[in-house]
Order: sequence, then C-alpha cells, then structure tokens
Amino acid sequence: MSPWSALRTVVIFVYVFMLGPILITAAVSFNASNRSQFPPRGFSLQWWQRAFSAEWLDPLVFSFKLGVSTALISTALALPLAFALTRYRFPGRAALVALTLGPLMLPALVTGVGLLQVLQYAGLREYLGFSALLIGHVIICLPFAVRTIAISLQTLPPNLELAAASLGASRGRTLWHVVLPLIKTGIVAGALFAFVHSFTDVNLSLFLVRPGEQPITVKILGFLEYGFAPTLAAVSVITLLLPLGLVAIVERVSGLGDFIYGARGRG
Amino acid sequence: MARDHGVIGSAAPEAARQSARVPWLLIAAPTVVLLLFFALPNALLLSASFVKSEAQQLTNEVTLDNYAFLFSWSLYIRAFIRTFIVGLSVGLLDVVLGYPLAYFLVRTRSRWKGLLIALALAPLLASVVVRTYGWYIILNRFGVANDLLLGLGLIEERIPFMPSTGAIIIGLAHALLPYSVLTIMGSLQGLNTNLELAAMSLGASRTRTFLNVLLPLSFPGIAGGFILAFSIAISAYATPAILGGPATQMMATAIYGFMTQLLDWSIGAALAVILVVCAMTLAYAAARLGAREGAL
Amino acid sequence: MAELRLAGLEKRYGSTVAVVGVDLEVREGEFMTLLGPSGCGKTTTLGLIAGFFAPTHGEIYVDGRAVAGLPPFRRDIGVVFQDYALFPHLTAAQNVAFGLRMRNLPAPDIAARVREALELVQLSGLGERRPLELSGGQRQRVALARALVIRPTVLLLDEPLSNLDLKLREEMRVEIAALQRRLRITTVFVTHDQGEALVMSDRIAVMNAGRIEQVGAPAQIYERPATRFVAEFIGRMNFYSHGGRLIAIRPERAKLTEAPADGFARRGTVKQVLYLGATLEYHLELEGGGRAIVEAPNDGAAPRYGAGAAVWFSAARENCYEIPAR
Repeated sequence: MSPWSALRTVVIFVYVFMLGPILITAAVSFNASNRSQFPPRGFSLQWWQRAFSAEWLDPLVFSFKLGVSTALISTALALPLAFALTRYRFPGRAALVALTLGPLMLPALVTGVGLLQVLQYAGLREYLGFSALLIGHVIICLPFAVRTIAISLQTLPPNLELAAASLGASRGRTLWHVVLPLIKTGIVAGALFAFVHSFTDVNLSLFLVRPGEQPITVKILGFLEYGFAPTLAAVSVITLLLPLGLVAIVERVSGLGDFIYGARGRG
Repeated sequence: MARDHGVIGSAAPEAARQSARVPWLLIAAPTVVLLLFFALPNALLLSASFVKSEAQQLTNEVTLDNYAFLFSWSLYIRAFIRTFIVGLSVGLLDVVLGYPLAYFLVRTRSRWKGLLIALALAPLLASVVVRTYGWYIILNRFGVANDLLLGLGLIEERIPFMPSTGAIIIGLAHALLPYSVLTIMGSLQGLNTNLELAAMSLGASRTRTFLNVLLPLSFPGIAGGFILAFSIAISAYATPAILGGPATQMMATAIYGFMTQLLDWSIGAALAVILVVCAMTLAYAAARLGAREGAL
Repeated sequence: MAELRLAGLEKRYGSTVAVVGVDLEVREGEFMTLLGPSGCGKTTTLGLIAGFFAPTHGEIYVDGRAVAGLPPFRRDIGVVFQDYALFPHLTAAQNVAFGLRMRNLPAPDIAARVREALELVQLSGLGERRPLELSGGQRQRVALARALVIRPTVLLLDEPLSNLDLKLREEMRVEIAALQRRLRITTVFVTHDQGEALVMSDRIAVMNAGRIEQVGAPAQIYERPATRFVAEFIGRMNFYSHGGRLIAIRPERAKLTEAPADGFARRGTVKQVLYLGATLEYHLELEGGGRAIVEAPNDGAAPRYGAGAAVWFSAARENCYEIPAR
C-alpha cells in the first residue's frame, strides 16, 4: 500500500472517530423506542415533535436571542478597539492587548464564577438570567471579534488609504468609502464567531442562569442527569444545525476564508 | 492562541498614524466593559480566595487556610492529579490523531479539500454538551458500544464504560481534536513541500524524512496543539460532568460543587485561582513557542 | 553506455498530458540539458527521473536498473531544487551531511566529506551558518554541495540559477559546468534559458508541449534545428516560405546590401535600427509583406543604413537552412 493510501486510511479512521458520535446522535433521535440503540430499530419522529415543544423551543429561542445580542454588542465594541490596537502605538497598549485577550486565556468557567460572585455580593442577584448572561457572553466573545477584525485591518494593502488621500478624501471619507467596505468580511466573520461561541457556551452560562432563563446548552446538561432521552438527541442535532446553517449562509454570501485560523477558542 | 498576539500584538506602523496619543474615543467603551466585567470579578475572586468563609458568607479575615485545605484534603489532591492526567492524555491523543489529519488536509490536492477541512472543523459548531452527549449514547451501559460488543459476542456482561476517567479522556479528546488539527495545520502550511522531496532524494525513507525534517520543523505546531488541548481540557466542566461522576472529580466540577452546592466561596475561589494560574502558565508556554515559529 | 535512459515515458494528470513519448539516453558523465518554455514538461520529466511521482507509462533505467517503481530514496540521485530546499533547522554543514547520515556513514567520514564538499563549492568556513544567514548565491552552493557529496549516479538540477541575479547567474553557469566536468557526474539540467543551455551542455534536449523536439549538441541545435519550434526557441530566426519549403535564416548570417546578392535576396525598407552596444539590429519590412531582422557587429563605423532606407536583405546559400518537413 503506498504511503499516501496508508495516510488516507488513517485519516478515514480519524474522521469516523470525529463524526461518529454526532452521526450516531442524529440516528438515535429517529429511534422508535426510547433506547439508545444503534443502528436504530424502527423509525419515529415523535422525539423530534417533542424537540419542537415549548419546553425545548423556549431555551432554543433564548439562546438564539442571546447569541444575536452578544454578536451585535461584541462587534460594536470590537470595531473601535481593533482599530485602536492595530493603528496606534500608545503607552499602556500592551496592557490593553492583554486585557482584551484575557478572556481567551482564562477559563470561561472562572469568568462565570467571578461574575456570579460580583452579582451576589453587590446584591444584584436579580440580574441573573439574560442580563448577566449577556454581559458574560460579551466578555468571552469580544476577543474573537477583535482578533478577526484586527486580521482584516492588518491585511489591508497599506497604500489604499494613501491613494484615497491623494485623490482628495478626508480621513472620515476614506474610512467610510475605502476601509470599512474592505473589512466588511472581517466584521461579519467576527460577528459570526461571536454568535457561535455564545450559542455553544456552557461553562460560563452554567453560573449565570436562573429558572426560565437558561440557554439550550445548560438545559441539555441539566436534563442529562436524568439519563438518556431521545428527545435530547433531536434537540442536540438542532443545536448543531443552527450554527452550521448560519456559517454556510455567511460563507456563501460573504466568504470566511482565512479567518478560520483566527477562530480558535474554548471548549 | 496566545500566539495570535502577533496580529494584535504588533501595531502596523502606518506613516500617518504613529501618534503616541491614547485614542480615548476608540477604547473608552470596550475598556470600561472589560475592566468592570472581567478584571474586577477576577480581582474579587483572587481576594476572596484569601479570605475565610463562614456560614456561606465571606468574612474579612485574611487567611491562607483555603489553599492549605485544598492542598491537604486527599479528595482534592486526587482531583488535581486526575485533572493533570486527563489533560496530558487528551493533549497526547489529540496530537497523535490530529497530526495525520492535519498533514493530509494541508497536502491533499483533492477537489474536496475545502469540504474536508470544513468537515474536520464542523464539530466545533456543536456545543461541547452535544458532542459529549454523543459519547454518552455510545458509552453508557445500555448504549451503542455495549450493544456492539455483546452482539459480536466479545463480552457476556455489559461493561460500565462510564462514569470513568477513561470515558472523560475519550470525550475530551474527541471534543478538542479540531483545535489541535487547526494548530498543526497552521504550522504545516508554511512548510516548503520541496523539503520532503529533498530529504527523500538524499536517501531518507519516509519515516526518516518525518523524523529528521517534518517533525523538527512542525514542532511548534505540535507543541502548540498539545498545549491548547491540554489547557482547555483542564478547565473543562461539561464533559467530566456528563461522562464522569462523584468519584471522578476534576477541578472544574469541584469548583462548580463549591460555588453552587457547598456555597463555600472562598475555597471555590481558591480552586479557581489555582486553575487560572495553570491556564496562564500554559498560555505563557504557548506564547514562547510562538516566538520560535518564525524559524522558517 | 547510457547511464540514464528514459523509454517511452509518459505522465498524464487526468486528461492533461504533461509528458508523452519521451525517449532519451544520457551518456555516462554527460551534461544533458532539458530546455523549453514553461509547461513544456521538462520539470515533470526531471521529477519522474527523481522519483517524486510515478510515470503513467514507460520506464526509467539508471545504470541499467529499472527504477520507475522505486521511491527517490532508493535511486541514488542527487537533486538541486529551484528554491534550494535547504533544511532551515540545520546548519549548512548539517545540510550537506544529511545524505551521508541517511547512508549511515561513520561520523568522522561524514565530517571529512562535508569539509571536502564545502571546499569544492568555495564555502569553507561557512559551515556553521544557517540557511537564513546565507545569501542566495551561498545557499545555492550549499544545495549543490549537498547533492554532490553523496556522489550520486545521476545529478538532477531544476532551474537552479533562476533565482539569482544576472551577474551571479552568468558566474555560476561557468562554475557549475566546470565542476561537472571535473567530477564527471552524469547530469540532467532543466532550464528555460537558452543561453545557459548553450554554454553548459554537452547535449540539449529541446522540449515542447510534453515532447522532445530535438536532441543534439548545442552547435547542432543552433545550426541545424529540426523543427520550427526549436529554430525559434534558440536564438532568433527569420522564416520564409519558398515553394512549399520552410527556409530559416539567422539574423547574424544575413546582410543588408545595395544589390541582390547570390543566394536568398529580398527587397525591403529599414524600419528601425536598434543600438545594442556590441551589435546593431536592423528591423526591416520586406516587399510583399513579411519582416526580417539583421544583426551586424558594431565595428565602430556609423550605421550604413538608417530608418527608411531601401535595401536588399540577402543571405548566402550556405546560410539558408531548410527546416525538414515533419
């Protein structure tokens, strides 16, 4: 067997390892019985029906709203920050970079715990739920947005702005007509990564929930204590398809290209 | 990931914009948000860890007892050790599994290359909870793995694969594999393909080419991938919670226990601080490796 | 005895043909150049000889052994790449030693031969530097030393001079050719630069669209091109159809005269005179259409004909060459 074929075989096994559990989850969600049999025996959509009931749809919608809000706020904060960090050299810049990337390096768990503690001791427990979650999510998603926008700013050909200036454009107009359109992809990518990171987060959300206001991930986690339930499988598939669909749409519409390398995050 | 300091970390010196003035307008809002909701809580956590907790309330008594307690109660020492072992195993597994995949994805000339890369990274779009749930389905006593083994006649009684440390390792290795693949891909991308051909033309078999050329040159990626997987693994909560149990505590589950069940904030905070120190050390190590990445 | 023989070599990628019907013999100690424009298949052919990929059809014989199925590390070849492909994590000396290490030679032998090789390419003393710390020309010499030190049966060079600036290129041409003549290693050299090919080679194989159009000594290729392509690719050529035959006349073999000379003659007008230092180039438009170029040595006298002058373009019969019909 040629070396490349041997490599291909190994790679196939790795793909099976990587995608197997997800595919099995999907298959099991169509099981007629409520056992986690694989291959599934019998076909049923009952679990999927239950997945769309209010019990599951509510947290799903909650996560979606939370994710969109996080994406918008993170991007809004990230844009000026990225500009400042990539184009200005000022005292304290290194500290600001460390502060910005901090949430990436610290476990999200710790950030969540810290926020819970602050709310607890400031007597602001009523903000647990959406508000606290939004704050926490923005904190951990901000670095993604900043990094992605910074990458697109860095890869702008430097002479474009000089060319615009030589043609009579003021700083403001150059920004609006030249820079912004060119970094549009980076902004969209940053927003997308922020959304996905928020939508899939569980470590931080765990500490900031309140009954009735929990993201889908925390709800699934809670339910798992009761063991296997095929409805969970269906819900899990939905929570994968949603971001997948979003990424596919964005890739189609504006392209994600090299930003993938900037998207490393947490588990 | 700390390596990405390079993007933000080095300002592109632009002729017109080299002012040393602080761009207050630009950084005001984000900085306030970060200080208030990130720096402050963490600072409070740090201080809480040095304070005694009584009747679920923080007191003003400064003490090192929290740390002393953690370092003496065997239960938590075991949790530390387990966390370390899990991190190590996950890091190793992910590098061993991730390298062939990364190499394949970088070198393949198939027209499905984009799709294959997407497929390798797609699992990241599912929450850790979802991916771990898949392993729950497979590894539980009445799950797929047992069904398969029974069906093949390889076992006679169902094996309780979970809860166990092994199950946690498999679950985390699976969840974090895309990260190591990405990191290793990053360092393989820049490698000149002719280097392998040159080695072979000089008489190196494929194994020797790998050991003498590929390995040393892609080492930053391997080490980076290992450290990334390791550091995420040690702070993981969901997977140990699902695939593990009370007998297989890890640092993250212990913190959760202290904060929400035992409500001993001081000890919980101390645990969190220890976790943070480990994470920062790893981030520093990764950054140092990144500094050598320009060797090509 | 042919040291290297290619028999019916063919390489296809899907429906694209990179190399087809290639038969070539390279004699022991010979310097053979594969010359052609980009995409002509010369680099692919080199890659096939090296074993970097397998041929779709055909066989390769190195020193009588059929090697087409063998991987590169079992072919006893030495390769110099266009971008040198020096191992960045090793010093120059370690780079040169690599092939010897792979052959498991004892350390003292390796050290001695590395020293020898570095001396051969005039890099003694630079062994401890890393590729990053060397200039382009120095890296090229390390690449050369690395391939030579293992004393391969066949030396393969893939456009090794194209990344050097002009002066260095001309210097290295001569040096490499001299080195090869000294060591008498069977060599296959790939280039698109006809100047290099003419200066360095014992024989040249001109390639086009995956095929070999002509193989011969430099003078033969230049004086007696077998096809129109070869005639045009090496040097410049004036072409004329004459009674169904294709006549080719080199610009330096043609003259401008007042009256038609014996042999080939056409009336024309001088359109441009180009001053190139050592030569003058007259660009003519001929009566009845067609263009011509005449190259004349610059003997110091003022050019006899200026733009607009009416002249006769002539060439003696022995300077008219008929391109054989296919």
